[in-house]
Amino acid sequence: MCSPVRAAEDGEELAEAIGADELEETAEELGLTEYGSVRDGYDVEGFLGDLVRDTIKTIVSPALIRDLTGVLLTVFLLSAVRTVLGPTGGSFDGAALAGAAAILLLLSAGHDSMTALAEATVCKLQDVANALLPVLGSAALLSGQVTAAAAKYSAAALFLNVLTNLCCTFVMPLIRLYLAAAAAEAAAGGGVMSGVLGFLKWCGGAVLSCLMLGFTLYLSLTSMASNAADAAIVRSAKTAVSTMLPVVGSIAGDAASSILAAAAVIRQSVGSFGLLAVASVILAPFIQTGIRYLLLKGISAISAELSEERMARLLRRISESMALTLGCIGSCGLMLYFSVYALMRSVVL
Amino acid sequence: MELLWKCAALGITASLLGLAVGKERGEQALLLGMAAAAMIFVSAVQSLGETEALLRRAGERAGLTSALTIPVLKSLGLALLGRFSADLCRDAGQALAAHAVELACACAVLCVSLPLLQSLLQLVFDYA
Repeated sequence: MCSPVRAAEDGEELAEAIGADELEETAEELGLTEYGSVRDGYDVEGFLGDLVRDTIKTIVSPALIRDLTGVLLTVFLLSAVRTVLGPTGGSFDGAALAGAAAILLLLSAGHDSMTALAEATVCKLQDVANALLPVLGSAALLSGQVTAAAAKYSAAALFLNVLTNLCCTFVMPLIRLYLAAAAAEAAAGGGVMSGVLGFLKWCGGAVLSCLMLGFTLYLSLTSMASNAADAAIVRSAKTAVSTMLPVVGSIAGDAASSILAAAAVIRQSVGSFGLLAVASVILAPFIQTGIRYLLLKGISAISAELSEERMARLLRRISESMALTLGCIGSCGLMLYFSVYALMRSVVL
Repeated sequence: MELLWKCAALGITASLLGLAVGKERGEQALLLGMAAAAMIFVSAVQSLGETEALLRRAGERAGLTSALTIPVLKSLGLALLGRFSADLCRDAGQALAAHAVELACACAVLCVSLPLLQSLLQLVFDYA
């Protein structure tokens, strides 16, 4: 009868001990407090509904309208003049170059450009991971995942750190280099930089894929090995306590069970906070970049049809760089999701 | 539409007159053709003023800065002017002058686009 009360009290103390207060601050920064708290759990459905609604509202942002108008105006003007002048070089190529420069500046400069957006998202994800993973790791540790929690936490922290650092110090500069090479290609005309551009794109994709593959493999292997070991340890410890101490043994066993139950509740609560936090951080930038990517692909196809091949190629290159940006945001978000999910999985008693 | 009728009438009349006087006085036929072409070009460009104003308004409404739109519009206008002038020179049998005009036009387009290229280079330097 006393077990639920004791579990609740234990839960409060445990939450304090593992640093749930710091997590509450992060939740406040992300605007999650109106959907619950780390201690009491979150209204997942309500939050996801509101998040999707807000994201849909912000899809047609002023930046998207500006970029789209700029690209469309330039492409149609160049195509119109090209139609009047016919297949010609000289001064028209200079005008096409000015158009290409304007499009590139429009899409890649400024604080609301896609690379700046992706960098901000990755940094925010790193902050969430820094606040979330230690608390989730401690909760998993207290709920009996002694081996698994340590292995999963260290893997998640290490891989996430490496991935976010690589995204900021390698992939993002690579994307900018890719854009610079695309500008050079637009200036020179033809497909003179296609080899370099292909290599840069391959480099970015390969780095992200290798890290994701390594992380999922490591996580799968450690989960298989350590979950079973932890379950055996917890079960044998409980049996030993109950049998070795004739009268007090069962009480001690119940107390241990209530602590394990409280830790499991906190772990689930912190885990659901983690899933919501990741969703709130990545959903809007991911969808905004994805929509820009699709629109640019479409305009590139229209431009190719309007016999403005130089513009079509440039827009195709920019959309490819957006695909890499999407890869960055997506892989960081997925890795944090996998980490949270792995740490949330309970020991089978 | 009205402008198109006027331009077409002017062009056809100038061509017929050119044919009539061309056999005896070639220089006058050439001058006549050039004058008609210049009038048609000026009329066409004047009609583009409204389009240009519309484009500017659309750009401003969408939040595009004039630093991006003006060089593109100017360079396109220069490309049209350069092509027209070079064709006039070619009609007069002055291929060298035509090339010179095209060269001058390419230089002018480059000068107009310089702020854009400068910003692009600045962006690349900022990345580094």
